[in-house]
Amino acid sequence: MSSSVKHLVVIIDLNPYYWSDKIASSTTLNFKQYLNIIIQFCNAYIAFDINHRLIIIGCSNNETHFLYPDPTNESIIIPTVTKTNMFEQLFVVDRVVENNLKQFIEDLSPMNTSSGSMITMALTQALCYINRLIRETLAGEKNSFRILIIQTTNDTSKQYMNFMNAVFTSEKINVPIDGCILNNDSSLLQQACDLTSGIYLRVPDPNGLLQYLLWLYLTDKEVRKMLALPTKVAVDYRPACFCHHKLIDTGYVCSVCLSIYCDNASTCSTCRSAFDITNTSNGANDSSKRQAR
Amino acid sequence: MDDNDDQYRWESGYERTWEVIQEDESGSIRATVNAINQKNRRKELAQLPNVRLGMMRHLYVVLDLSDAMKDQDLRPNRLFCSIELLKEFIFLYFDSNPISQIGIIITRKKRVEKISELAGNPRSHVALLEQLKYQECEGEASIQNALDMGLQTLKHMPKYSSREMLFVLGCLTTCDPGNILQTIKTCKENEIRCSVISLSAEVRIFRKLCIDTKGLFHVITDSTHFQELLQIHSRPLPALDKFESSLVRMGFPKYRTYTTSNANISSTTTSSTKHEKASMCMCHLEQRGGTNGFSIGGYFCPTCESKYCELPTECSVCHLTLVSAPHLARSYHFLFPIEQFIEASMDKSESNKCFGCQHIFDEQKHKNIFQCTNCKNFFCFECDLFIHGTIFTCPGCIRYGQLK
Repeated sequence: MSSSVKHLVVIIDLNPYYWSDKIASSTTLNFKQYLNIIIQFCNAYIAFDINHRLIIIGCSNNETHFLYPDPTNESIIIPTVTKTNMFEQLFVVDRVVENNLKQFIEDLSPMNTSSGSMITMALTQALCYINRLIRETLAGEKNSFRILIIQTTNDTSKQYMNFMNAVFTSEKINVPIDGCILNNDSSLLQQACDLTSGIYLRVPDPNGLLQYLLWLYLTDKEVRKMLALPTKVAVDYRPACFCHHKLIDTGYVCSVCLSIYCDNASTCSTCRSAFDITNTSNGANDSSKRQAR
Repeated sequence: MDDNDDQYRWESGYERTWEVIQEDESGSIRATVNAINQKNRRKELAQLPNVRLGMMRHLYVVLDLSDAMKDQDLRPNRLFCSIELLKEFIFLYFDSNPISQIGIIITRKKRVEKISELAGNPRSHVALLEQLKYQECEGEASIQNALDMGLQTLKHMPKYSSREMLFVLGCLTTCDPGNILQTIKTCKENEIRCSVISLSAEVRIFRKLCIDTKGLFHVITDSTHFQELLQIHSRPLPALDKFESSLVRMGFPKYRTYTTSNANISSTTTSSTKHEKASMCMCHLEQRGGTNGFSIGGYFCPTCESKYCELPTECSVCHLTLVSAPHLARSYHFLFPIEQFIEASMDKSESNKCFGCQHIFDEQKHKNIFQCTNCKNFFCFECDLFIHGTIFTCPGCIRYGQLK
């Protein structure tokens, strides 16, 4: 029996927008059920293996909060023998998450809820947290890390660069990102899962959320090889041009700042460098012309 | 010394380097040493703002394979150590310069040999480097021949790219057929930046080469230092004055499986319907006899429909550079660097936790904490390094970007 500790960081989207009246009609799941499902999943994860460790980060429209572990709150809760004879650790987790959630939801600001959640902020904080755990790892120990993002809101293009930076970091330190989305497909999350070799899933029926979570996200890489996973959809990596925000097949890239344009421009709007249009062509042809002259 | 200001250590003023180090109550100097290390690492990561960088690079790595590389001052010997570190360097290079190219040249027995042409695929270069491990190191190196070979290719590279040569040299001599000063002059005229990492000692001609062509000259102290130096070279250097800017045409192919009917372009890769035809990809075409590269899926060049199994690459048919959006996004952090955090004292902080890793600040352990000037959040030293060195995004500032 190896003693490698497996850490899972769960990032939950708690943006109230998805649960508001505007969208609620399309789903039969309510907020309370959603939270219940996530707590059930977390319990299942902890109970699954003694070496499993859990970190839960909640994020809303403008705030993130580490719901668990919370060393200051944890000491207050004394595991008492409950009516149901619950496993002590699970009892503590449930209470801590419950308390923190309550506080977090009370502090929510109703501003700008439609503009997406602070997934990126939670992700960077999760990476910082993992980085510290990696540094504290003793020689010889082999710990693994994994991030699961449960998202309910749409992507925000403003977070693109920050999000991608976080994804590249995750790729570098070998932390797979799993994505589970309840709403429309998210291309950012899709790319993140593809780049870090995690699993992406758009939950077709929110009522089955718990089943989906237990099926795909309870297990790590090793066990997944034996599972029947959802078919991988080819990820669209085409960029949007900076000028019209359209997806393009071929485009022109500024050699100074790598901004992408769909047509020839005389100056770059990002770095303000002026281009010599006569010189514009692709690299190899350019050099052959120069040789010929 | 002729034209450079920094003299040799023994020629410069008498420095009392030990006075910086102070003992604490218990007589330990660990605290000061740690503080110096911290300062250095922070300094290393500080990026100069508003400097135009040469984002597209064409680089030749010249590896010395002369007698001197057999020395065992680096373990197991200079050649093995260099190759191991260069392999790491190649991955780092493509990580920071995703659309750049690299080529490898070796020099021994007064001759040079091109191991790989300028190309954008790290794996093939690393495989070739691996083979070099078992080659004999003999004779003398020739810098002039290496320069000439690099010049031949690099001078035809487009003006908007940064043309560079990086020498990893163990030798203390160079055996050249002609006047090397003339070749250096030609390099200078062609704006080829030559940098040298010397494994043994400073040699005047190496230094002159670097100064004249505005490259960097370093002598390693040990293998960790060697690694750090290579890391410096993996990041894009500030562009030279005569640098042109231009728009480069690029293709962004989508991964798909080849189908007979064009309507079914975005079919999934795993399901095998009747329409799918297996085909050979252009990158593995040259390696005959293998089954590598024979598959149904791939990236198809948007102009000529040739198939490639990996990006980034250059289409061998229509010479279009093929990349994907994340490749470009990888280097955006150089363009939008995040500001250095400032050092702050513990009592200023409102919260007692690091904003990044949620570690509770401890009076003894965390002598210095750092504050982001934009979002005013506090971070511990580890997070500061991680944010500036790896993530390139301040967790607190994301909120402000969102609300704008």
